[in-house]
Amino acid sequence: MRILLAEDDLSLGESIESWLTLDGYVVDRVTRGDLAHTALSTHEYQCLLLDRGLPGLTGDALLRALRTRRETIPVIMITARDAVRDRIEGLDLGADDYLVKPFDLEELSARIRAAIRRHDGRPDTSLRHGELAMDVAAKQVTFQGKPIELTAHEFAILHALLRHPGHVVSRAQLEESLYGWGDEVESNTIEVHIYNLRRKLSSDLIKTVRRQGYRLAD
Amino acid sequence: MRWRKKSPRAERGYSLRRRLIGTTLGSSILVGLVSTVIVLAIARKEVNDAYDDWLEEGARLVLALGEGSIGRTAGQPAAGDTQPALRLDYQLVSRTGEVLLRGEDAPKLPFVPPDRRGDRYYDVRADGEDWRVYVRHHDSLGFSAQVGQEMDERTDLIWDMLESLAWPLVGLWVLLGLINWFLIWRLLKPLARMARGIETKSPSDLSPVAEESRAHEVQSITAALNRLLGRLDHALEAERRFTADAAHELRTPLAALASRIQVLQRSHPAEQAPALAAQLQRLRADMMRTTSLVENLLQLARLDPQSGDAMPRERIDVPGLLQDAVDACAPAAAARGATITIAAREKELVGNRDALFTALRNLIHNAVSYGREGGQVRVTAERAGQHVALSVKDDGEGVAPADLERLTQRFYRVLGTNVPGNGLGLSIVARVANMHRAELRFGPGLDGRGLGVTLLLPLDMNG
Repeated sequence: MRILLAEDDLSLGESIESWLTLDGYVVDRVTRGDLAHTALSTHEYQCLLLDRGLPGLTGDALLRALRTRRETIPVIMITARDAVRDRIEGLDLGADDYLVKPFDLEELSARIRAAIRRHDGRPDTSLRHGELAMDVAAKQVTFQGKPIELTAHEFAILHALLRHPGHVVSRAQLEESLYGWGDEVESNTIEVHIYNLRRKLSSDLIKTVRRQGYRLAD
Repeated sequence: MRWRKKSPRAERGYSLRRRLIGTTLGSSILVGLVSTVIVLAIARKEVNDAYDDWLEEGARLVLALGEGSIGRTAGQPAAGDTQPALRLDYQLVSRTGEVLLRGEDAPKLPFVPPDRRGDRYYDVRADGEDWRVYVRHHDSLGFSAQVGQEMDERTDLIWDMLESLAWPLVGLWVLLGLINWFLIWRLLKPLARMARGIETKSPSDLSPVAEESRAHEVQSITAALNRLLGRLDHALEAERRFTADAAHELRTPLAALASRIQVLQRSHPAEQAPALAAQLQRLRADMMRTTSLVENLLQLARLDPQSGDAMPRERIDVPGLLQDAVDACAPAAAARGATITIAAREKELVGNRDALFTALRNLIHNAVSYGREGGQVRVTAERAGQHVALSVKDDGEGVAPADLERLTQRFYRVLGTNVPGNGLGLSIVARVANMHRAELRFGPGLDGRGLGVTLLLPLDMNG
C-alpha cells in the first residue's frame, strides 16, 4: 500500500511518515503542492494525505485538479482550519475525509483504512478470498481458520492481491506497493516474497500469469 | 460587557438646549430692562426740560398779570379773566413775603422765602407735596412770581409711559423666546440624531455614524467620533485576529509534537521500557492539556461578538444535544467514576447548536472534573416561564460565594483544586450565553451541595 503525504511542516510530516511506515504503508513525502502533483502523475497511490496550505500549489488547487481529471484516489485533508465552513468547503472540493490538527495518529490510521475501504467498495475491515481472510486493521491473516505469521512485505503483497481478487497485479505494481522513493529494489525480491507466501499458505493459492504478474487462484 | 452604560455624570448634567434658550432669553430680558431704564431716563429729562420751560413761561405770564392787577386793583386779582387760561399753581409774592395773588391749588404760603434773589428753579416741599418751582422777580415793582408744579405730575407721566412700554416689551420677549426655542431646537437636532446614531453602536457594529448635518461643529465631532470608532474597530479586529491566528498557528507545531510523542510511544511499548512509557504518557497528557487550551482560545475568538451577530440559529433537538454533550464527556466521567443522568423535559429550542454544545460540554466537563470522585452529575432541560433552562448540577464541593463572581473571567481558576484546566471553559459558556441573550446562573447543586449552573435561554429568540 502506497501513500502520498503532502505536508509542508517537516517535523509533522516526518512523524506521520514514521507512524504510517510502522503501519506497514509505503509513504512518499513531499512538502510542496507542485511536487505532490508530479508524484501523483508518475506513481500509483492508494491514498493521498493533503495539507491545505501547501506552498507551490495549494492543497485546494491540487485537489480540484485531481477531481477535474476524474481521479478517484482517496484524499484525506489535513489542516489547521477547523471551522465548519472550512470542513464543508474541503469536503465539497472532493476530499473524502477531513482531519483537523492536532489529531491522533491512531485516528489517522483508521481514517486511511476507512477511506481505502470505501474506495474499494468494501463494507467491512476484513478481506476474504476463499479460505483466506485478512484483517487489515489488526494486521492478521488466517488461512483455513489458522493464523499465519507474515512479514510486513509479505503482508503488503498479499494485501495488494486481495484488494482485487481475480485481477492480475503486475510485478511493477507490487514493487510500487513495497518500496518508497530511493529504496533499492532487488530484481528477484517479489519472487522471493511470493515463494514465501506460497510456502506459508498453500502452493496453488497465488497463480503466476506469464509476463503479466500474479493473481489469486479462484 | 454592557456597552450602553450610563455614566454617573449624566445625572448631574444639564440640557444644552435649555441652557441656550435660558441664556439667550435672559440676556435679551436684561438688555430690554437696561434699554427701558435708558429710555425712561431720557424721557424724564425731556419731560423735565419741557415742563421747566412751561414753568418759566408761566412765571413770565404771572409777572405780567401781577403788573396789571396790582396797578388796577391792589391786592385783588381779576380772577375770572386769567385763572382758567393759566392752569398754573402760581403765587405772586410781595417783597415782604406776603402772597398777593395765588392760583386755586397753590399753597397759601410762598414756595420760596422772598429774600432769595435771582430768577431760578427750586425743588421744595410745601403742603406735604414735592414741588418744582420757578421764581421770577419783577425788577421795578419788587414782587416775584412763583410758579410751581407738583412733582407727582411728572412722575405719573413717566409711569404712564412705562406702562405703555411694558406690554409690547413683554410681548417681544415672548416672541424672542419662541423664536429662540424653535431655532435652537432645530439647530441642535443633528446632535440628537447623532446621539441616537452613537447609541446603536456596539462591539458588533462599529460602522461610522452617518453624517447628516452640514454644520462644521457637528461635522468635526462626527469625523472625530468616526475616526475613534474606526480605530476601536481596528483594535478589536486585531485582537480577534491575533487570538485566532495565534491559536491557528499553534496547531501545526502542536500536531507535530503530539505525533512525535505517539510515534515514540509506539516504538517504545510499555513492556520494553516501562519508565520511558510512563514518562511518554505524562508528556502526552500535558500535550493534550495544551491542545485544549489552544482549542478553547480559538473557540473564544470565534464566539466573539463580531461573529456572534452572524450566528446561525436553528431548531435544536434538545435530548440529542444533551446526549451528545454527555457523550463527549464520557471518557472524563469514566476516569472519575462519575455517573451522568439526563432529563430532557423540553424537547426543542432555537439557538446555535455548536455553541450550545460547546457550552454544555464545558459545563458537564467541569461538573465531572470538580465534582466528587464517583459522584453524580445531572443534566436537565426544562421550561421555566418564558425560558428554557439547561442546567448541569453536581454533588461535589461546590464553589465559595467569593469565587462565584469571578468564575466566568478568562483564565480564572479556583485555587486549591488539583484539576488540570485552563480557566477558559466558563468564559466560553458565558460568551455562548451572551450570544443567545441567555442568563447564566450559579446555584446549589444536587441534594443541597455542589454547584448547579443554569443557562436560561429566552424562548422568543427566533425573532
